[in-house]
Amino acid sequence: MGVLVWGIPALLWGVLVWGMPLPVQEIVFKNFYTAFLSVRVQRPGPSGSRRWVTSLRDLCLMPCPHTEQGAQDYFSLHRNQMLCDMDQVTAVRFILRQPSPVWLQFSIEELQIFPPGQKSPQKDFPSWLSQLTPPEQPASLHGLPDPEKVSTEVQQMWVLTEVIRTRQAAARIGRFDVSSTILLRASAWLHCQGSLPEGLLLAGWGFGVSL
Amino acid sequence: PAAGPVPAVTPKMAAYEKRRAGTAPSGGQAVGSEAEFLLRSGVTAMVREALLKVLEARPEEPVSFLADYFERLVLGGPAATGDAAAEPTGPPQRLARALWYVSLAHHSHRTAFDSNTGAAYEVLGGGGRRRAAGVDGRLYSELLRSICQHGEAPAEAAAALLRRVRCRDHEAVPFDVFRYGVLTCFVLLEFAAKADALFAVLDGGSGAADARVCQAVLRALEEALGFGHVTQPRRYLEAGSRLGPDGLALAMDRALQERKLSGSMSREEFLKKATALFVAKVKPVE
Repeated sequence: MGVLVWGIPALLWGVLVWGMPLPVQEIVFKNFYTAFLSVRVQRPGPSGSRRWVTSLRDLCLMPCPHTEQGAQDYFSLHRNQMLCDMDQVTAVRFILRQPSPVWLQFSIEELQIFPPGQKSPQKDFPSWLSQLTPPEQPASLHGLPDPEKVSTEVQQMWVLTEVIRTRQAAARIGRFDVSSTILLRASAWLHCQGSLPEGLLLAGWGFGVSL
Repeated sequence: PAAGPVPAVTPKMAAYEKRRAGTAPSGGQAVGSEAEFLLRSGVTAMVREALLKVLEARPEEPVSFLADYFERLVLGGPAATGDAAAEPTGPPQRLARALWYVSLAHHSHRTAFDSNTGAAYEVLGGGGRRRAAGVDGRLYSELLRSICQHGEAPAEAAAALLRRVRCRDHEAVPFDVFRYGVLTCFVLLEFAAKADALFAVLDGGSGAADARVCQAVLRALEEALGFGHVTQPRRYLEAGSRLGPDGLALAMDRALQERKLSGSMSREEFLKKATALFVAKVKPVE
């Protein structure tokens, strides 16, 4: 499957065609400076013909087309949002519009179309994201230190640790740490291999000494 | 230096002449001599330098910052007046000057902090008269130790941190390692101050807090710090949810529900445990 895109500035069409009719549950994509999106789907009509039906009309992806908002967001279109039935789809056409002259190029990327059984990966949210307030609340805050204040301090402590993490030193001292056993082994090895050419001796050292 | 054999006007005289010529038609002699005096006595350069330092550091209390700045200028010796770049001579002076440089700007003013650290590195390294000796492990450790002492860090935590970022006495310390070492010391000071403030909230002014609650809060922090392996935005969100008021209230409440022997935790013990969490996250110098 591939997206065929042709068009004139400010309007792009892309068509996605597959052979047999398939149900569509969800369409996921990443926007790239498209302001409005319309989707038309091709479905089998009466007596073997195929009809194009509009399933989404001018969905606004960028609230203000001249500015950055929404320009690179991920979007998920669920079948409930569609204007028509999505059970038997043989092709999808994407119509992209960008009225603003600011953006020379626009498209949609990472397009994925999911059949009903398959869950889009974005749905596997960790619990902390899907439940912004924890399901269980403490019975009473009586006797507890003020959670707001505790949280402020603890978060600042966390941030300070994060500072250390993000501003780590890239340089190394380049220390030679030669543990005594390895040194012993290396010297024994050198002793045995004393008659070998120099290159091999050096290789032996490279092995015995840990940087 | 002029090209001719005859000694030409010195730069100072030239500046004076120029200034006089420039001001004579409009302002007269008085203005010229005032400006000339400021220039000659080095006040112009000194004040400019001080203003630059204030702009760099953006201190919360500019007056005390400036007072401190000028005090150090005076302490730095008569040669230092008007020129902060004057070379201090002995190792103790160099150490004091380096300590002064690194404490000028807060580490969150990243550019200023890094440039001050660079200046400190140069001051420490510029030992001998003829050659720049560079910073070795001994000077570096001494500077870190004095930063911790100066900021009154908990001794045990400071020692643990120094063990982690120290270099051996004979080793040449690259600037990046030096910067990281200095940064970790300053962050440790701030971390200890925050931990202290946290304990003040936990004990409610009584001097000893419930050990279970303290443990629960520290555990929550430790768990949030444990997300080091996941990618950045997710790590922030994850920590934010765990360390939010809701999450912490729940953790503290659970800790209090436990039917365990309820002891108390002293400030020192709490600080020790908290700073240990921090020190464990510092990347050791290798």
